[in-house]
Amino acid sequence: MVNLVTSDNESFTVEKAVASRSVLIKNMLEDVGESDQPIPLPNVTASVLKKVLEYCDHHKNEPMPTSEDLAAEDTRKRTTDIGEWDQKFIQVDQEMLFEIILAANYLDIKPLLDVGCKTVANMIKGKTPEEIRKLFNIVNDFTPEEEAQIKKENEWAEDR
Amino acid sequence: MESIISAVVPQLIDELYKQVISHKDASSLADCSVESLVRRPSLLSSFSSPCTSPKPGELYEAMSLARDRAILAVNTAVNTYTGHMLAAIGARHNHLLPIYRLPSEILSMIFKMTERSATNCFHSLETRAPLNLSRVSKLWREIALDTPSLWVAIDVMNIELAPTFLERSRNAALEITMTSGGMYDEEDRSGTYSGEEPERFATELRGVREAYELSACDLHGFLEPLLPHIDRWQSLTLEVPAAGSELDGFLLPSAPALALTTFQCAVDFPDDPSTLPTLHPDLLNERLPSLSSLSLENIALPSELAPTALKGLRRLAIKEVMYEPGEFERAQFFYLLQACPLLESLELRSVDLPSPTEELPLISLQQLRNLTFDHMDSDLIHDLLSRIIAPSSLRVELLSIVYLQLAPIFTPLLYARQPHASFHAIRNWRFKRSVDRLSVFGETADGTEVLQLDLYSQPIADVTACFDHVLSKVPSESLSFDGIVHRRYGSFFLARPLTLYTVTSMSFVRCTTQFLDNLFSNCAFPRLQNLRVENCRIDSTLLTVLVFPAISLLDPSGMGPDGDAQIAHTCRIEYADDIVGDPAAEVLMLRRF
Repeated sequence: MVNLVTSDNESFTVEKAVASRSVLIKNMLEDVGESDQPIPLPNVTASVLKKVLEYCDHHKNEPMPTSEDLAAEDTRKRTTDIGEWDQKFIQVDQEMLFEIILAANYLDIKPLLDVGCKTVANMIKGKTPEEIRKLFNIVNDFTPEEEAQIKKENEWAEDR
Repeated sequence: MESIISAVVPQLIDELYKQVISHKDASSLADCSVESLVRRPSLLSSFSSPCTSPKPGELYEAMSLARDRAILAVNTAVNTYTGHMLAAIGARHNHLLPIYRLPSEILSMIFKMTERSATNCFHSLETRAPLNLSRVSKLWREIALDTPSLWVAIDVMNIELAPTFLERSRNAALEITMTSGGMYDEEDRSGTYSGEEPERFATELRGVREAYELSACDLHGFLEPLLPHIDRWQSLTLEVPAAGSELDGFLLPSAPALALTTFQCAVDFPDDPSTLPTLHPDLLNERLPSLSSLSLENIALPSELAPTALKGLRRLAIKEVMYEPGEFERAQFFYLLQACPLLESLELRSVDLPSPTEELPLISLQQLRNLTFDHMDSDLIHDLLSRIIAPSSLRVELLSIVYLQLAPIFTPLLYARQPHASFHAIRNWRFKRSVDRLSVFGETADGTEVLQLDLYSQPIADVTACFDHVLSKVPSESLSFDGIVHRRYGSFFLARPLTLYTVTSMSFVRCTTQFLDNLFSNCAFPRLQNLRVENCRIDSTLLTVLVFPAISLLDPSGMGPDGDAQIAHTCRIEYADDIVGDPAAEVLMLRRF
């Protein structure tokens, strides 16, 4: 078993196979060897780690992606399909979604990072800039000069 | 007069500026009459020298213009200032948003996924990545413009913006596509498109088709602005209308990086196969040294190809090409394949080559993973299966095979001179019926499918022959049946007794009682140890009776030295039927011989 301590000082004791879905933790365990020392995760809160561990537990028996898999994924055209379980898992509010992505990036869990990014990509695709702003509460922060430049670039759209 | 205006405008602007910063109403100047300006000594003094002294009418007009120009200048300055302030406030707001916590490299990754989604090329430019992404906010624009790979896809929808895309993609490899969208239609209906509204998709597809019709009339015009960047071309997909096909004799300058090509001629059933457009031989002989994937539909390979023209291919797909004798000989095609040592996937759909007049060579393809034949004549399949030497992991798909052709194909398929080692490793034969076909899958111990047969509209007797062949020639440890019914279209039944000693596990899902009855009446499974029956509308008692073998079909090894039956083993039956209403149950049956 592995003991993980979050930024808000909460401890999680999990199976090694679950924790090792994180390349960061896996490498730490390999470096430290057999030890009862808790592993601090200063960039992850308890609520986020709980979700991340839920993902790792569900996928613990799957083979870890190889570098060849990652290269193949990179060149594949269709990259926004998400598995059924993963879709349900990632149905969280935006704040949690971005926290999961950040945690997956920090903990180096590539499949989870992919699921998070694909979810955001699916939210964005096919939307106008104004619809995207509304979705994420983004404010148009272009200066008048930049706005004029963009308008000039997009004259084609108005002509069509 | 211009000198008067130039002299007065700065003073008026200064005056306005003072009014603005002292919170006075800037419109007071706008409201003041031109007459009052003309009478102001402070203004008049700036051009009161005798030589420049204007006439009254000219002075009146100059003051009027100077006033308007000053107001415009101040308004513009105020608006710009306000705009900058709002932009700064907006940027500050945005940096507090959850999505702004994501680092640039992750946002860039998300942008790429958006741009590479299957439906992106259908969207109108207003909603299409990367153009829409670069118009959301300052940060998003910076990231989008700093990600060259976002700008590499050029197609009929954005060809007018090719200069922008070519510039922003910098040195990244280009993906050029000129299609009507039809080739993506089917896969997108089952893919990412499934979550989108059909009406919106149909509208977008119409937009693509309209844009395609404009481009397809002029293939060379479409490619011309891209030719200076041909060194960066990585993939090229061209679909042209049948009439006056511009792909006939199609040739490009040397494209050193071009790896993936698809050429498609939009005709379903050509009346005269000899009229099919043919690529220029030099295109494949010398112009595309990095070509690794070639897909042709209604486009013929030129007969003047050098034997090693396709040597670097990893994927070859040919569809709807029927060669006449003298055009392209079967042996020539085999020699071409023989010179493709890296080939991983070969797909032939509705392809025919003249019967061989000479000995066909053996083809060693040690990288071959997928072999697909669809709507093909048996003799060509037979020749290919007999001569291709492939690794054990090869997956073979035989789709839409005419029933009479099954038997001749089976022999080389299962007993080729170089039998696929994996077929001997088949642990499970899975039979699955869907709406229009019966599919037979051969699976290895780890569940990998190494063989798939899709049989359409098969008369029962021929499917039975298939069943006989599969079960008796390539024995397996387990059998699975999904949705199999008895004596109905697309099903099969057994006509002759069969005893399968190797089968230890069987599973039936949504099969009919009649099918189970027919199977167990004609076929014995003396070493059956595990049986799973799910939702087959069969009573569990009847099931037990069915599975009990007739004495004539008993395994001889289960008989005692004096010929008496002995206890051989037990068979565990896992039974579940939602429809009959029996709860999920497990029955342990002791088989007594």
